[in-house]
Amino acid sequence: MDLQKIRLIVNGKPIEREVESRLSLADFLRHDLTLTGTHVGCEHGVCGSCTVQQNGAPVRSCLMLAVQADESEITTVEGLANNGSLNPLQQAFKKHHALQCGFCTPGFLMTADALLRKSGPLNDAEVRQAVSGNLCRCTGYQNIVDAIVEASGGQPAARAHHEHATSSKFIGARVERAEDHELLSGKGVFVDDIDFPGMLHAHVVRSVHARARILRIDTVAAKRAPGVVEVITFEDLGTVRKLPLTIPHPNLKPLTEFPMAKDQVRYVGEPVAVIVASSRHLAEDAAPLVEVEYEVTTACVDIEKALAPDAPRVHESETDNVAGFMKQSTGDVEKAFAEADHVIKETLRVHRGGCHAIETRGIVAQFDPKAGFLTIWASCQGPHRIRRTLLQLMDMPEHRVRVIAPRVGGGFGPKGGFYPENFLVPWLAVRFGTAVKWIEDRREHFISSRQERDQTHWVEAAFSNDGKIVGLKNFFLYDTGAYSTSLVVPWITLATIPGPYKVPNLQLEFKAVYTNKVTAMVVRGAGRPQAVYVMEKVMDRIARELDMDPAEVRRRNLIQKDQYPYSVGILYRDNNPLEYDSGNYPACLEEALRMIGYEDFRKSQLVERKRGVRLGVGIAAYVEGTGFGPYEGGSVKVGTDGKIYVFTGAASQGQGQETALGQICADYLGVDFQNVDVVTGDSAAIPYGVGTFASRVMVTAGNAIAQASEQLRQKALELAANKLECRKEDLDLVNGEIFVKGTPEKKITLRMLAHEAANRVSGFMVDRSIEPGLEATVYYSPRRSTHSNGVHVAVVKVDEETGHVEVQRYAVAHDCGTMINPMLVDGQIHGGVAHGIGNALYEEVIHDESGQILNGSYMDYYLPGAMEVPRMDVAHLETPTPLNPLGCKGAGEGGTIPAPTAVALAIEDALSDLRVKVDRIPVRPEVLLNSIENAKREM
Amino acid sequence: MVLEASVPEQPARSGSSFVEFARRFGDFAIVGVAVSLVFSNDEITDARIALTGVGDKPWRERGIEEILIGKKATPELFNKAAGEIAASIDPSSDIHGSAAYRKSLASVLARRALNEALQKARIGG
Repeated sequence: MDLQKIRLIVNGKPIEREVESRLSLADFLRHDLTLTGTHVGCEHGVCGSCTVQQNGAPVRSCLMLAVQADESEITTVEGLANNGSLNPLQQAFKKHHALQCGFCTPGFLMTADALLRKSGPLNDAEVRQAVSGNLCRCTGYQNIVDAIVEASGGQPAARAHHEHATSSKFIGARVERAEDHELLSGKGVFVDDIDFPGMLHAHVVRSVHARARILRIDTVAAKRAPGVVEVITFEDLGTVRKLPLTIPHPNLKPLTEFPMAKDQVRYVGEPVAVIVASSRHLAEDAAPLVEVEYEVTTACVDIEKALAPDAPRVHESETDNVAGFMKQSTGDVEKAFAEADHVIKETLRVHRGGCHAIETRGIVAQFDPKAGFLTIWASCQGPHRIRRTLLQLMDMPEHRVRVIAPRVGGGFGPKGGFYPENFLVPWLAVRFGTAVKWIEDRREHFISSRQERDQTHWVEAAFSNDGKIVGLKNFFLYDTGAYSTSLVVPWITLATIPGPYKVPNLQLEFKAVYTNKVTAMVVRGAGRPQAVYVMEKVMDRIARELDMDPAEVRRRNLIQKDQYPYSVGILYRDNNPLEYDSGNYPACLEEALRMIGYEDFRKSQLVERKRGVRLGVGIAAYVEGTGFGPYEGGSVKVGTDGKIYVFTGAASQGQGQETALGQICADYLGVDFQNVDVVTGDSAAIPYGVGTFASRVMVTAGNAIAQASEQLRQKALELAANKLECRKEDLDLVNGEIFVKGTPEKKITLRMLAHEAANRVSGFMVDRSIEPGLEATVYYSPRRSTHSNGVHVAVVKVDEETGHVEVQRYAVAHDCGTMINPMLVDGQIHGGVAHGIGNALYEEVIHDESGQILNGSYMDYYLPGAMEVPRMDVAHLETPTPLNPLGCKGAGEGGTIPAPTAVALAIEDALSDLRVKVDRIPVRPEVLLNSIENAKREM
Repeated sequence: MVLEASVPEQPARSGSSFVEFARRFGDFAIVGVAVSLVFSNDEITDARIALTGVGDKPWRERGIEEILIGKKATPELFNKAAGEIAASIDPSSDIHGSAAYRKSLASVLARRALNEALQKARIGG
């Protein structure tokens, strides 16, 4: 090993160390100095999360060697806070809700801190440009920009504040987040921040072919490599089970994968061996020494070719590549089409992107052989689900397996899945009786994390002369990748197609198709963006055919305010009849149009077009079925330290659960929000849990915690009545104290009551039948799905000579029912829209014919940055659902769902005189330019 | 190793421009065009035009420069010069853009760069 001595100053402290010359500065700071506030997101210098300052200038610590920091001064995020209190920039981030998962935040802070030291007051555009080299997947950049503008002494853009008339104190208020202080000071503990002495490191050797037989794996040379402890292949796993389906369905073939490929690989990235070594570097060094001999066969890559009789079969045991199917209908479609004034047809394609949480997946598993206790820290969306699946695969007593989701740097769907590594890393920890760590790198994320959106739709719509849709037929193919997990994504697509519109006659059908690509799964939006694209494209086609205004066509088809509950006539993904509970769809449309200034835009659009500037507007409305079951739990407890503890299985990946759920508890229990500590994502904290996905947490965990808090309040009042020798009805609980109404000096604190409830005098009888402990637990199961809705309007500028598209303005009118914290809802919308703009214009996993990913880096796969995402105007309409006591519906995905469509339709609108068709998302400039030129030739 | 680069001071009646096309702000350009024009009265006395993203190195288009030198700067001239660039370059295709797209971009960007250089020369002169 080549060691060099370095001397440097880190956060004001002189440091002298011997380091390997190849060690990156990021690894040196994080693992040698345990300054884990600096995060590594891409390892190739694009995402900016690892930004630190060298002699005051921002540098990427993943691209720098530790030895290059010799004789210099390094500042990390830990060096920003002064004696534990946040500096003005950090405070501005907190105030403006400029962070969600907090993983990219240190990079933004270090970039901005360096900028602010040499600049005066900055404006929005200047800040966007300055942070354009930092990627964030959660916030949509707007709040980050506002925070930096304010910290610079500039004037952040005016924002609409939404006041709420509520009788409670915290629900509905823009409460600053409980999570932020820790995350802003670099103290949040993410999975790669967890190190144990003697810990082993796993590296997964993955298939380099999309479809091949494994003839031979030779691990001898790799096993001899320095630091390597063991190399595992399928044969070493002994009796091993296949991963279970996430959600079985009678129409879904249960073809799942083993944790490692047995004798056949079905996608580039499938695990074929695992190297275990004393360090990550040494494990990776040995990877090229694992020799795998493959017999490569033709891959099946394109869903539209996958059903041809001679297509290569992804699973040789099967007669075709159909993984599953579904057909649903309502009304009399054939009659509707036969009698309709007009019929149109479209073929639409949507392609796959990835989740691209800036923190990749990762697992640390620690096995204590003496106690027989296995503890797993996983960057995941539901630790209880990971544990449940693991217990199906490993024979261990449930109470000896604990799964914890520490701070998670974004999830967006794919982190809710159970992956081979979720089994392999714990298995290795048990096998070696120690701790084992595996952290996915960005390249692996591209080839092994679940992806979504590949669908091809053939849609036909029948409509009348007055623009009303009377029938819709849609058949689509869904790319499920190499293995089955569930039919959830295409089922959601199918059921989301009618959206907010009255479609009396429907015939909807899909086939899920295997391909030699990484397995598909939900990505933020989960099948809904494709459905919105289909329906809204139909709306715009109707407008075009009848020469009507697109907004007017929508007005004529929307479900009206007095039509709830509205039954669509098909089954939703929760297996219940699809019934919209509440909302006001026309109001959302009008509000979104008002915000964008629709009528004025139409006038200026014509003027601009005469000047050669092509502007377009796109409208996309959606209904999102949210709040899926089966349940989520909330356990609320008064600690003997007087703090209120809330436990739930709904882990947070940055959404702000600790704040929003704490607000609910504070109001329902009658305590100060500051005194509530919400613990999410620990299977030891609450026995049962499901997880965070499908915009379900406020509906399920929120209502569970509301009810548990209410029960706890009643229990506390009962105990206090006993203690204070009065009637329960005479007591009140305010700010954590219970007192006799009218005699406030006669009181007892919750803390004292907690001691009383836990430590009754040993051996004495108690005179009342109240269970010990001052706590209450409720598992809330929704009866049926709730339905959020909204309308997005995008304004784009199209360069007709290059195909370049710029999203200039964006308006969102949104209704997620009762908002617990409108600031957090704003954040969800902003981030969702940014993700949707990525889907619309930039993000596409490109495969070649052999199934190789051609753009597996952030140099080639474009995530939208601060310059690509416009400012957004967000209006909240609040129609509480009657389906749950809080009235919440869910806000996690509404930002993403209609965004690709709003942008795509705006592009068509900008080119309406040329009748250019955009029938593929994402819209690539080259493809668009070709369409424009073809259209011009045909004019 | 490059040891030194010197940029000569430009004559008073001159203008330059660099126009690039990238999918996102700050990305490595798919195609970029740099133009420098020197004028005497309305006549172009010197022209330099170089491109990125159309070959394995920065690409100077002397043939196009010759079209420009000695002529009056008119929209027609710029259109002609820019249009001929597409035929004179031989870019390769990759996932960011096909050869045909790069040719098309080169012409469009060249025209824009020429016009911008002219504008700057007018303001400067």
